[in-house]
Amino acid sequence: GVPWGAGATMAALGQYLDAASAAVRAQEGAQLARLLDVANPDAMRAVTSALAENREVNLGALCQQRLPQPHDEVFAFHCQCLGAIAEGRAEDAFAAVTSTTQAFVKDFRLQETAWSLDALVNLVKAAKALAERADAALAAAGKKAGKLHDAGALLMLVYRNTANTSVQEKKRASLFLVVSLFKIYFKLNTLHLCKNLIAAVNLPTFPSFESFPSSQKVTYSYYVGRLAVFDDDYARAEKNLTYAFEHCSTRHPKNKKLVLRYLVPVKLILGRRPTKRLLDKYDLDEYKSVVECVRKGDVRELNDALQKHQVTFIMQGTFLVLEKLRDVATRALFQKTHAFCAAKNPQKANQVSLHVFAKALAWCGAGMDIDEVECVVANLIFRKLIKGYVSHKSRVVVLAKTGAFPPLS
Amino acid sequence: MDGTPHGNPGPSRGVGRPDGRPDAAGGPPRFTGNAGDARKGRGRRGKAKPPSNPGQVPKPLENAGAAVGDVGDDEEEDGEVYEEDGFTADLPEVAVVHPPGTTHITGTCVLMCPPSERDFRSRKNDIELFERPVGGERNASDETLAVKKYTRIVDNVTPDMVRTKPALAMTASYLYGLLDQRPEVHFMIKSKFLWDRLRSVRQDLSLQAITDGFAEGLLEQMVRFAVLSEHELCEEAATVNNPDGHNSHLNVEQLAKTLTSLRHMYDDRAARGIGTERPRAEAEMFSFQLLLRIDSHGRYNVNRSEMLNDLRSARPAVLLSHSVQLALAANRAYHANNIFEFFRVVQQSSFLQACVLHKYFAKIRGRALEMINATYGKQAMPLVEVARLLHCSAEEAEALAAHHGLTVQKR
Repeated sequence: GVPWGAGATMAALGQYLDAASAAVRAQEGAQLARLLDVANPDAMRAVTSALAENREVNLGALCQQRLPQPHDEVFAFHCQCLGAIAEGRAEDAFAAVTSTTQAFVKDFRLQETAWSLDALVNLVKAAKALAERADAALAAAGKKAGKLHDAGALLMLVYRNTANTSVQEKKRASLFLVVSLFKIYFKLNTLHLCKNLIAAVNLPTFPSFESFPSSQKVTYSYYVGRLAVFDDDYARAEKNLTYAFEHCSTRHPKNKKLVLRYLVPVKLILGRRPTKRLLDKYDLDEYKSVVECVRKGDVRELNDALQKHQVTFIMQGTFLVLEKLRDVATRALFQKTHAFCAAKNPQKANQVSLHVFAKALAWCGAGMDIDEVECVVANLIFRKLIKGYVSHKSRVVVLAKTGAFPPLS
Repeated sequence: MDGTPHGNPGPSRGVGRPDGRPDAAGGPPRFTGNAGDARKGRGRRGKAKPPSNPGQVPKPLENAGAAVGDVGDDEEEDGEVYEEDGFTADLPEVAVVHPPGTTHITGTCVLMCPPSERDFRSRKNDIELFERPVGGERNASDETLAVKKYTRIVDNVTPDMVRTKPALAMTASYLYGLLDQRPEVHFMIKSKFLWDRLRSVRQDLSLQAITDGFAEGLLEQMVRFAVLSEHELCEEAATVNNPDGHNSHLNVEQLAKTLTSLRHMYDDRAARGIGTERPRAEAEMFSFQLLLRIDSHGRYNVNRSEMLNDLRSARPAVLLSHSVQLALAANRAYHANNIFEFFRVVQQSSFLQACVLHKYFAKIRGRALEMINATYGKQAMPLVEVARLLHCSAEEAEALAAHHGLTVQKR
């Protein structure tokens, strides 16, 4: 064991700062990243033992002695951050990492290469994690929890300084930053802020999407898909969520399940049904009855299923999109009714009596008067789920001779 | 409501004011993002990566450009590539006004209006109608009539300028009581006065950071009054020819702010495990919030995702309450274009909920008419029949038809 005499503890801190200085002067990106990783146990030990020896130790001065500007500031704040983490002071830790990052960016902006990008990414990750921790502490104390919001602003600062540059390598972390911002905006329910990021990703100045690691592409597509669901753009939602599902590693079944949670309703709206095997494999029980009801056209059962799980669906953000399935189920029932009518009366195969449809609805427990039945069917026509017209006087729907039930997608 | 006279709204209200423009077809809003689909090619599957060891140099990855260590994999976060976004309570709007540098004040004014303000306004001939003794002028009031005015500027506030809790309770009570007095004065004039003076009450509450059950009660009553007045004044909209008319969207904005403050108070107490003293009121208030977000109304624009945001930040007990379920049913019926279900829900709703739903009557009738026009075979339909389907009178049906450019023939 290392002798813990006086001075040995300060020496650890000194060694740490010397290593930092060496990394900075030699532009060793990987080493710098390690040193600025809040999870680095050696760095943490160096700081805590120094603080244990002298809590009022002047970190700023120490850093100034050993490090060139502005890395002296960077490491001074970083040590402060580590100290705060060690003492469980979440808000202080977040404040410190914010300062660290801001100081870091000041230098990064001026660099002609991206040698220190990895370190910056580590700082960003730490900032987000510490913000969440700080907010948890604030909420527990009955105070306003606004640190995650501030982390978002910090990330935007980093994004701007890594994306708006002629140094192409600096943009390597761009998708990571975008995805991190998505996560923050989703947590804060400020979804409208995501649009600008998507626009930025689609700019020609943004690096090729393919060049980024798979996991980032998957995460990005997941969020874009979810946003498309909120905007009722199901084609786009399906495209993105499918990409996310297919490219998500099978080593992350929880993530695959998360994607399916949104992909299944989207596919149902587009007229495609998941297999029972898929639902079993990913443990999507709440969707099993929904899928069955939509298939059978069981309007009432679907209503019950949506009611029963509504809190879950609301919390997951699938509530509004699942409501759309009522139309799909109603159409399925109408289609069955049509088949029935056509079989009974082949001469008038393209006509469906609204009274008969009313009976079908009543039979599955969703009885309503004839005016409302007519309204419901008119709505299906209006939304182009059925092609035809309503004859109000005779209470009959006259279907188009061909393509009366266009494909949903 | 305390002594508020309210006429029966009846179906005749409001239809006379359909939106200025014919409604667009009820299609889903288009996603406005860029196509950008060229990016979704077949990417290389992510390689299995060893868990990153702190202190070890992360292995460079095979695909070029991704040498940012294990950045994307987030293995540190327990292998989660993306987190479930737990719902969070909404960050509160800045409805609480705390000017920089001041801490919470404790008011000492026991009157409805601080005497210094009363003097000041008297000298400036700024005493409003209700503050004057009968037959009085703009320059005199007394302590039983003067009520503190709302003011945007709140620096240098001294305790004597801020009302105590009992004074605030007395003020609110007095203000609502005015609705029963002076029958010769139009409701709109009373409403404008109340709107301003109640806003001042709210301001005094927030200056003192009063957020307990007392504050909740006062705010809840303000919400109810605002909802009521929205309906009462729906035909008195401010226009170029009527500049002193009712500014619905300003009223609704204030209403929304009050609801947000309330929600913050309820959430705050729930977060501290205290639980609200008034679960039914909380549910009622939340139902108003949802009802107001069913669709845009007048100049108040509503984004569809706002409703989902609201829902996600509510507690299950509130979500499953009767009031909120009714609001959800109304929302469902409205967006399903099911006018029958919609009016059924209206029948089941409370008077105040109906006041909010009333905002959508014209729109849903317009859409119903549009739907009928688009999906029914070409025919002439008797106005009475149209009226029946639209749940309105024959006169209203005729007006609506004309407004949407349909021909009405006399037989």
